[in-house]
Formats: sequence, structure tokens, C-alpha cells
Amino acid sequence: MSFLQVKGLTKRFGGITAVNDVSFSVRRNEIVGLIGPNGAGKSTLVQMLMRAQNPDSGKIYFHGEDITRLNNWQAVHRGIAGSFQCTRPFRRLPVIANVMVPCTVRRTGKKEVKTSTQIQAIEIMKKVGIPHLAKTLAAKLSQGDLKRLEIARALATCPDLMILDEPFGGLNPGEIEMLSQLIKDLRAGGCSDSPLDSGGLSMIIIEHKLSELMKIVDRVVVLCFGEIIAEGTPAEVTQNEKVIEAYIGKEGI
Amino acid sequence: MRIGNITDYLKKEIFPVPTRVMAFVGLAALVAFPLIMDQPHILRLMIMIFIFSIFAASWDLISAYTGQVVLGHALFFGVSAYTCAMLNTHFNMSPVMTIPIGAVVAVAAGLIAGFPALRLKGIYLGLTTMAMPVVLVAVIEYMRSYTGGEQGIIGIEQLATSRVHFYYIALLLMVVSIAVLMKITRSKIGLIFQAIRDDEIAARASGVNTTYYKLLSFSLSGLFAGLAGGLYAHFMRVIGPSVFEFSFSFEPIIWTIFGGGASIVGPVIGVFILLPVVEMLHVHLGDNATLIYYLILVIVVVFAPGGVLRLINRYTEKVCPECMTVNAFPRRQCRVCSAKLSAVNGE
Repeated sequence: MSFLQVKGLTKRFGGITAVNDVSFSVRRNEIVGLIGPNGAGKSTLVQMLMRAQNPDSGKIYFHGEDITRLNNWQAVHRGIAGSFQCTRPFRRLPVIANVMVPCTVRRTGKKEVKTSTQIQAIEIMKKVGIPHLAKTLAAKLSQGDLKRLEIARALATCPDLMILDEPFGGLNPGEIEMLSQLIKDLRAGGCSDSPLDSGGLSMIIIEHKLSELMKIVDRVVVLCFGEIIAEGTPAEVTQNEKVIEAYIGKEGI
Repeated sequence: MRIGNITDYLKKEIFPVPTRVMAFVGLAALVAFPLIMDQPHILRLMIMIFIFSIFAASWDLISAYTGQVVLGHALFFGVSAYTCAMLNTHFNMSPVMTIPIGAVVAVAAGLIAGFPALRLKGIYLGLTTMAMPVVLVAVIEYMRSYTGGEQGIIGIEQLATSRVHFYYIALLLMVVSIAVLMKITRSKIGLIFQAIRDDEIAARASGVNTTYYKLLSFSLSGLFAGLAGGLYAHFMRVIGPSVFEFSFSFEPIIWTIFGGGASIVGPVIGVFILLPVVEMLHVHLGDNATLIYYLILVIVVVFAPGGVLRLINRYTEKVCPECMTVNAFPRRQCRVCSAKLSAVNGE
């Protein structure tokens, strides 16, 4: 059974239909890439999934529950966490406090292990590879570290589904390499306190750096002018005529 | 607690840190103060300082910690003061009853004032809250028979029979309020407040119920401002619509910026310095006092943007980069984890 199911989602901004009747689903432990040209509606779509924006019509089901009318933080408590395209750290707090915020409010897992939020935060920072920055103010981080902090904070909510909006944006090749590895590790490891039985994590990743993205995703959804024009494995999608014309270009990736 | 525990605590946690020694000595001096000084006008000034310290610290919680710009903080203070005055004069309730009720009414006012904050941010929220005390002045005018209109309410019962007695009550309430506020800001709730201040959308995306925590911050701030307002009413024995004036809303902001925001102690330092300064300036300079007062404020803001507290911290203590323990400035090694401390105080 797919645990995220989107049915006929539509969002209009005035006369512009940003997302038009989009339906797709994500299975447990699956990494889905969401690609498409600028203005295709990718960010609007994931913001609706994160419940930061309300759709005009359509339904979102998560774990079989209709979450279309929940608000942002309630969706987080159900297990959907997201990172922002432009990183939004708590600037005047040190990194460890940034990660502690979601730890203090997160839903408790099945195992009910009562560890202090500080220890939880340190564990997550280790996973993401920023424990040495614990006491640095978030305002002083480099772009690469900010991206990792963003992921750490999303991970600290103990999600079942993580949505990453352009995680590779503004990173150098070395950092991209590290982050791809991290994403692969997370898919396997996930959050240990998760109420789900499997430790694994599903992800939706929006990204323009296709060559890197294709290495880590299982399936790709291509969005163009608010509609899904193709869906399939990375190999299928890169061969697709429509996708080449609308987004990738003749030279390929 | 045994005496041994207390001396141990003093030795380990208070004496190695200059600012804590200062606070400790200052507190002891305040306790001993009425024994050596019995001039009524000095005691009156001290009591005002205690009351306004609570008031200023409550503004620090809502605005400097939670980032909700409140420019009408007099609302909570005045609502509580009027509640106390009316309950006392119309229903003969004792101050022991009226002050807690006044504080609860201020919490309700905080919840009402907090509602715009669910939609508005920054200066827009500031303007909305600024308008609220003005609205209340109109209400007070309208309900003249209960509130006394422009004349205000006179003949409110004193909380304590003697001024020294009141001094100790106010001191105790100030110390308890400041301690509670500091405890809150250092708890998980305080952490969430600061997260909301820095980025509300990110806080919500981290699973924080921002509506709940914003209203919580408003009601906590209202509670302490209300406590200060109740004390004020029962100390002055006369109150009028002037408690809702803009100057009353801006004073806590000035104190907080002067002393150092987002610290709870900063505003208290601000009150302890600025209130006597104002008093002195008025005695010696008369009409020129305001000019000199604001000149001092400008100088402090320009040369110590973080407030007086930051300035004191900078020259008296160092924070260990490893374990975050506070050390006295001359030390080269951390007193807990023996890590090397840098020569300059790193920001």
C-alpha cells in the first residue's frame, strides 16, 4: 500500500493554475525525484504536501488518513517533515538549539525511550555530520552546513516522509557527494524513534542537478505547467520525448 | 536544604563568576538597605524600581524573547491596576485578593492582545497593540461611574502598613518573578519562544504549535505585567488613565534596550540604573532633565548596542567554548573542563 497518496490536487493563484489535477503516490522507503522547469509548480506542490499551503481542490492521504485540512505543524506530528529551498535557520540560536526545537515537540515513538532532547539532538547532528558545529550560531554557518542543518532539523521531527526542496542548491561537488551519501544512509536508517516498524524513510526530492539526482532516486515525477507529463524510473524518464522537449533538452544530462 | 549544601553551591556556582557575585552582593545589599536608610522618598524610589523591574522583564519575555513587537505594554499593567483599584474601592476586597485577580485579568488581556499576533508581525503588530491602551482609555471615560473617568480612582488601600514592610514584599515578589521568568526562558518553552522569534515559519515546520506558544507567551507576559500593575495600584493608592499613556508603554522598551534584551536580567539592570538617574536629573536640572536623559540613552545605544549587561559580561567573564561554562575573565582555563580559554571574549 502506498502511504502517501495525492488525488487531483489543484492550486490556483489568481488566473494562473500552478498545480493542475495532480495525482501520484509514494511508497514506503521510496525516494521520489520531482523535476520540471522553473515555474512548473514543484514547490507549490510540496508546500501543499507539507500543509504550508492549502489546495483549491483535491485530497492528500497519509497513512490512509485524509490530511488535506491539517495545518503545518499537525502534518509534522503525523510524520511529514520538509526542508526549505532557501534555508531558514533560527539565526540567533546555536546549531544544537536549532535541532533541539523539533526534538522538544516531537511525537513520542513506540518505544517511549526517554532520552533528553540534548542527547537526541547530538545524535541527529552526528548522523548528518555536523556535531562539531553544535555551539556555533546558525547565522554563521556556510551554505553547505545550512543545508545539512535544515536536514537535521527535518530529521529531528522523526518523520516517515521527508521532503527536500533543492538540497543541492548552492553546494560544491564535494558537498553534493557528501549529501547524496547522507540521503542514501537516511533511507536505510531513518529515525530510530519512529513509530513505524521499519526504520526506513521515504523522501521526495526536488532538484535541478539531474545527474546527481538520478543516482539516488527510485522513481521520477516530471511536472510541467502544473501537470504531470511523465513518471517512471530515471532511465525511462530521461528517454521520454516529452520530457526531453520540455525540460532536459536534446543534449541530455 | 542543609547549610553545607548552600555553602557548597555558593563556592562552586556563585563565587567563581563575577556577575553572579555582583548579583549576590546586590541582593544582600537590597535586603539590608532599609536597615541603614529610612528616608521615605528613597524607599519609595526603591519600591518603584522593584515594581518596574517586573514590568520591564515581562516586556523582555514577549518582545525580546518571543519576538512579538508589543508597543502597548501599559495595557496589561493598567488593566490589572484598574481591576485592583475597582475591586478594592467598590467591593472592599483586600489587596491580597485583588492583586492575584488583577494579574489573572491581565492574562485575559494578554490573550486578547495576542489574537492579532496570530496574523500580524513586526511593526504592524506593534501598531495594533499600541492602539489597545488608547481604546481602554475611552472605555474608562465611558464607564465613568465605576472608573472615575479622568479623575481616576483614589483611596485605594495600601498593601502594607509601613513603607519598610511594603519594601520587603515588593523585593520578594521581584526576586521571585525574575527567578521564574529566568527559569522559563532557560527551559524548553524558552527555546521554542526564541525559535518563534527567529523564524516563525521554520518553527511551524519543526512541529511547533505556534498559535499555542504565542498565546502562552502573551499570557505569561501579561501575568507578570499585571502583578506589577497590581502592586503599583496598592502602592500609589491613586490611579488614573495616565497608566495607559504611551510613555508608560515605551518605558519598558527603553529599560530593556538600555539594559540588554533577551536576558530578563538586562531590563532589571536598566530600571535600577535609569530610574534613579531620571529622579536625580529632575531634582538637579528641572526642565532640562528629559534632554539629558535621552542624550544618555543615545550614547548608550550607540556605544553599547547590546545594552549594559552585554558590556558588563564582556569585561568580566568568558564562556568556555567546550562546555559553555561561565568563567571569570582573568582565567586561562575553564574551571570545569580545563579547556583553554581564548584571550579575547569571542562573540
